[in-house]
Amino acid sequence: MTALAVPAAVRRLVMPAWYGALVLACVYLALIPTIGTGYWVRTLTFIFMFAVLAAGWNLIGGFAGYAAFGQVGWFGMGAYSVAVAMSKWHWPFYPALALGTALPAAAALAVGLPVLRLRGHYFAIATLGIAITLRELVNNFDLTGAGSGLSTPLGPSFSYYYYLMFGAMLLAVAVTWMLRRSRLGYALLAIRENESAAATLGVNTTLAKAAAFAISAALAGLVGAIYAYWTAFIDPSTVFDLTFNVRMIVMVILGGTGTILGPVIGAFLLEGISQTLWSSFPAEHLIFFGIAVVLIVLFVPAGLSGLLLELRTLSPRLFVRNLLRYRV
Amino acid sequence: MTTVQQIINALLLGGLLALVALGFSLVWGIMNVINLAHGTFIMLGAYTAYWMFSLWGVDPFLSIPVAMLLLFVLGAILQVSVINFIVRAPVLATLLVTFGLEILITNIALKLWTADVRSVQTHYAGRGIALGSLSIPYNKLGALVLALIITALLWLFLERTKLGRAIRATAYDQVGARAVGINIGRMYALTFGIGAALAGAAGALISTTSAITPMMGSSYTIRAFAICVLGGLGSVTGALVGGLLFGFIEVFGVVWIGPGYSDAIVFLVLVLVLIMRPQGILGRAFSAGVQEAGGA
Repeated sequence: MTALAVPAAVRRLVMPAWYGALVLACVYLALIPTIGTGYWVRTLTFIFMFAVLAAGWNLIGGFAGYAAFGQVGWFGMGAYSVAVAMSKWHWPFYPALALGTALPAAAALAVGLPVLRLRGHYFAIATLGIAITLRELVNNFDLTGAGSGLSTPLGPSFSYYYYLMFGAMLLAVAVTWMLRRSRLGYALLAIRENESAAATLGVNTTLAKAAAFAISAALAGLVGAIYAYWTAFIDPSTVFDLTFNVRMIVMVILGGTGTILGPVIGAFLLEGISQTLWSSFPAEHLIFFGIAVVLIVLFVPAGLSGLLLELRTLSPRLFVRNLLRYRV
Repeated sequence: MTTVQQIINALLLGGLLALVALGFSLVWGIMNVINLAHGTFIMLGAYTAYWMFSLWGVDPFLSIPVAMLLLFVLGAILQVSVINFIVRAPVLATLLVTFGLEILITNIALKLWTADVRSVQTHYAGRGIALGSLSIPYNKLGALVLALIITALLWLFLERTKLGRAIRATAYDQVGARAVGINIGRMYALTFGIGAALAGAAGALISTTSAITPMMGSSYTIRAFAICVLGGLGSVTGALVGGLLFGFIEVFGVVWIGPGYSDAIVFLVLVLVLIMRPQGILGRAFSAGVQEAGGA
């Protein structure tokens, strides 16, 4: 979306350099486990994970404009699928991973059909409710170890999970890229702009929204599944952490809502800052995070892609304008 | 436990929950803002009562006015400095900003007071009126009575005073309200302040009946939302009916389905009500927020 608004001459000049930089960045990231320290491997694995969560939210929240506020429910469902399949049923990892991706997608499809009829606040809170309900179910079932959590078998090495998460991030970007060019992608954008008009024009809005919701749940479930194997132990409060919902949304806003790479860039920025704060202020980092969320929404509501569009007129006044836009 | 005792428990819980939802409903109804930080105001009210009790021995029922005053000031400051900038922004912006505030306030409280579970042990805790096999604890009864009094006072304020009418006018018609000389920003600050003060009162009352922690807020925010949806949004009676209904659902849901599922039961009911009757059970359009339930 951002790219379309930039003049053609500038695009011809900038785009090859941009793609080159992306390829270089990917090569560099692929080399990190061999040249970087354990700290960086761990931090980047987290960043990749949040990039996938953010990219998944972007499909339903950014493309279709439905403010899903409970994506962590699908993350937790993916994590618990792997933990149960591996520790209770002794499945190998890859079938468990497939289960952890497919189950949240199927659940989102089933739940999405009724819940996606709601809009605005009501949709947001209903999805939050689904996440809380899932946490409570897990908290009560013996199969899921109830409140005390589950262990998964120890895996190969930290760089193994690094590459898994890295692959998941590339997959999420590819899915977004393909979706943006597909009929479904255009249907979602039409729904975001005006759902009634889209329906009038023959878009099957129910199906399109449910499909987007299911794909976003599959992506969240996928990284949840990898996360469960990676940390070797999960419990309800960590994999159904409600602040994850806000984290992924703020990442998308920071990078650029409805863009292809925005969620990934937002994840690198926000999770990078978060991890740095966490390592120097373990007790206070969430205080800073709360402040950051408020400031980002107030001052950069259109994210970095929004700033890019106004590059020529970029001045401190833009931030003041952003702040005052909705003032009473 | 007999069914009669459970009905009593449901009423006692429901009255208190009505007060929990009242401020949330007011803010939502008047400003169309879902305040996800509402629960942290309840938490701050509870800690106000706790500290006044443990430092100076003040009875938690007597610290209600103090909690309300402190939270009114905090609420008004937050409205003027932050919320006024996003009142008209898209849904997502208000949800994110208020959740950001919730993270901020919860973690400051964690830093100041640690994650320890605390409780207020008054001399009358655990005692109550006994009627045969039934029992009505004093603290829960007191909390119910005060919750009903505060609810009634809010109703009188909104319906019978000039200021209350001005607040309602801003919800009905902003342009019209402005035309007759109402300062919208100031009304919003007042509304949010009152919403926070009501949460503070609820928190002080909760401290007499249950244990408190800095993380207690979010579950009350969610309950407040469910109550508003059940009872119908933005009216005092809606919050009261929703609260009582909710008390019954929670108490009997736990009896029939099992403890530990209370949040899940609440949400099942909530989602069903939303899908079948988005305007709530009482279903009277009151305010800015209602238009959005079905339309764009």
